Amino acid sequence: MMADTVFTAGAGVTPLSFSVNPCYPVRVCLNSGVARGVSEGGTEYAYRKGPLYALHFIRFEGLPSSDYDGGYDYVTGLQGAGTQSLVNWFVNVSQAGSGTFTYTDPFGKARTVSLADDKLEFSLTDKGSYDGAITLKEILS
Amino acid sequence: MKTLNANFTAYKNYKTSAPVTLAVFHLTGGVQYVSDRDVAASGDMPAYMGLITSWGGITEGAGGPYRVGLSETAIEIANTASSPFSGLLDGGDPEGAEVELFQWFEGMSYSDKMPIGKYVISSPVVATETSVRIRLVSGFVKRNRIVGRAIGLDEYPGADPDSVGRVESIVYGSLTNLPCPAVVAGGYSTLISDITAAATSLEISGSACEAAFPAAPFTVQVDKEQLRVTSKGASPYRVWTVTRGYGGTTAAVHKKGARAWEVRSDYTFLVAGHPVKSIGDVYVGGVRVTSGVTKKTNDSGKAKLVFSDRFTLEKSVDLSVSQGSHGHAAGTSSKRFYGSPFTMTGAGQNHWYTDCCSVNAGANLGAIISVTLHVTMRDVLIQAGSDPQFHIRGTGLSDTSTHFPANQGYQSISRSFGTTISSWGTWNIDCEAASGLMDQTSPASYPAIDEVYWDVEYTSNTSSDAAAGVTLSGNSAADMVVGGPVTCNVDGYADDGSGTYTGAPNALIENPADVIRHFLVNQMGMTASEVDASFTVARAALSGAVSGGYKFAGAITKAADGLGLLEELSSQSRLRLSHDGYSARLRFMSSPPFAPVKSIDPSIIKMDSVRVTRTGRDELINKLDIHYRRDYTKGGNQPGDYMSLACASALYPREGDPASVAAYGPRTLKRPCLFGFVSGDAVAQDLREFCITRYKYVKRRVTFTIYLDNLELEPGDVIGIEYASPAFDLTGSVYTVEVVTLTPGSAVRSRPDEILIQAREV
Repeated sequence: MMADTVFTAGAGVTPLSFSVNPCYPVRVCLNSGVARGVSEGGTEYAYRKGPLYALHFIRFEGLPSSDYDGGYDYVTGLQGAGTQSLVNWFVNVSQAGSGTFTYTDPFGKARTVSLADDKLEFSLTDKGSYDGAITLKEILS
Repeated sequence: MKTLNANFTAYKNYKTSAPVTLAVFHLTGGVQYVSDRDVAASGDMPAYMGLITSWGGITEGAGGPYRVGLSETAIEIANTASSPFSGLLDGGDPEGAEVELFQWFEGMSYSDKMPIGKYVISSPVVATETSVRIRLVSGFVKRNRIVGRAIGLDEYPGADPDSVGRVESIVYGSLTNLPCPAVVAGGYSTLISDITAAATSLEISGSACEAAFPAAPFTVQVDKEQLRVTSKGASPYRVWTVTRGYGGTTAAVHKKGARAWEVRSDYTFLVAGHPVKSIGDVYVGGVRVTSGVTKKTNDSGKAKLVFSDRFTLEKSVDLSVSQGSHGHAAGTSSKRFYGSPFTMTGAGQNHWYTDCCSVNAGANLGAIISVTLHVTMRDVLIQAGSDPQFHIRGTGLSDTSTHFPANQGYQSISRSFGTTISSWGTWNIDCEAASGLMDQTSPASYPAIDEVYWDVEYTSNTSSDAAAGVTLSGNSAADMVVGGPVTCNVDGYADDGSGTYTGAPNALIENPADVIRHFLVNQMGMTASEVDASFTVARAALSGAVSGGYKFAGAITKAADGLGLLEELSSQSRLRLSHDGYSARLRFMSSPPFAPVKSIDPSIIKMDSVRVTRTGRDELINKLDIHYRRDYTKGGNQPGDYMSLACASALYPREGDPASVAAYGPRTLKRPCLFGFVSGDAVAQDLREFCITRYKYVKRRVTFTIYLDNLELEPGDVIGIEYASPAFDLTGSVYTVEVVTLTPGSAVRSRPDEILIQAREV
């Protein structure tokens, strides 16, 4: 039995516990942060220009609207007390990618990540649920 | 090539490493450490925030060989952190704030990081909600300034109005005939009308362009007379009361327009706005002055000439009269003079025609004069015993007379008689009836002189010489010159007692490398430590480049942009100057045969990065005239203001390089080559030949990319390129690095740190 996928931030932030799990397999891309060059003579240059990091491409299908934007007031930009939503997480909690939070996957593994998406793009289905994907960036070293 | 420390060299040579470019912002609100990634603090290394989202290329050497090499770049910084960067900039005036860039490698000691350069934030700084884009230019631009201190009345209240606004000369090397502006000139003006020798009042012009006089009493001199001014009258103080013939001089007439100048015990002329090594001959109005002047090489930090009196020069005209001669041929001319008829009023009268013939100036003609008198009378009663007679007599004449027979009754008589004379003069004709023998009893028929005339004949009996009438009196006074332009020969800046610039204590600073170094410190505000050892290498190269070595002899006599002056100095000495914001580097541009400092082979050239262009006709120079040995007395900077011209040599005749001219036509610089700091013939010729040799042919210009293991390359380096492909064969030639652009890498763009090299075939 898989656990719920949960986003957890600091104290005072209501966790976001997804009602549905991501579609598996979840694609994970490990990026070395190395920029490479090669000379005419075949000499390889490999300069590490950033940390090792992983990109987790997580896709949800049939995400209930309560998970997507439940309790979020688009006029005030505020989330209702005691509730949490993906839209609020994107706008306010993760600060459009600049803030980090804990992502606990359905297998119980927790990772420190940030949202790597510039925009949140989900489709509203005829069942009133949402389909879409998010990318989480996990700094490894 | 740049000199790098050993540890850094080891790291940069690794083909796999973690290079990090660091930026340190010295802002008003504090120092900000930023990079393109977060770098944790460690030991003496502060924490760097990973805010930089984009590095621009860091470029050195753009603009040409004689442009001062100043690098510049642009960076983009994230503006979305909890404390946005734009807010830090707004905390103080960011333009001018210093920014240091470093190349560092993870794992390397922080203290071994290599400074890329010190920059200042330049306008415009562009900030948005998400980013701040900042342009950085070399910190050396803060050193730049207008060089040249103007002569002002605040510092020189007694300066000649013509001197105000001119610049205190900055002199390097041995210079001749340097104009020296008057900084203690004394007052001067001109008389507005003639004055007699007795006049005790005069009026001066007092125009704004004249130097003001002090309060009375003071002494002025007009021509050769000194006048003591006891009162200057009411404002505007132009009508003066004077005591004439002051100081043992003689009162004299003076004409309108005569110059009145203040008599002082000192008149000061500024040689340079700094101490000089020595002052040689002094000239006033082009005349060498051997006394009455004190040469001060360091008078409160400036070089001056102090005259104890106004230099005066009485100019004269050498009257050279060609005597010549013209002959007066022997011959006779005549002229007839008539007297008025006259009737006697009684018996026994005489009648005199006085001053009847006054002709002068005949003596020098050596003429012999004959005078013949013709007289006709009527109603003359000539009685028995009478002795009628006519006379010619006068000054210088013996009395010559003619007589008539007695007892002739009434007669009309007529007689001509004459005399000769050897000199001109004034003489008389006398008609005389002596002893009443010409009586007439009836008044109605008194005797009358009906006609009288006398013919004068003058005969030039010899040719004569005009010299006899010309007296040569020698020279004649033509003009009184008071003052006149002051110039002098001068050896400019001297080294200090430690030989800081030249290596020899108190030596004349004239090697171009030493001059530039001295200029950087003394005119651009650099410290001695900001000049590296490359200057010493350049000095040695310049010393051996031509017989006697490169030597500058020039002056800065007009205010000018410091960077522009440095470029002028560089172009007149084959030097390339660069500055990374920390220190200046100088490089002598060598001639063939070249010794490449590095061979670039395919193992270090980025794949597919080689690009070859050709320099084109616009860069060609196959014919060149160099104007040098500037005449500073002319005040301008045009070809005509230079006394020498290097335009031909055994290597390149006046027509230029024959092969290049045949191929491309004559090609030269678009502007005249005016080298005001060059005075040596050999130097001028060397500069001409260097330029033609380097630019007489179209050459290849190669760009290629390398990596950090060749980070030491810099503009001016001579390199070999061992690269041959079906498209290009760059081997067999040497190249000079013109531009180096370091672009830090990026993980996001998967781009490693790269160095773009632009090099020109030489």
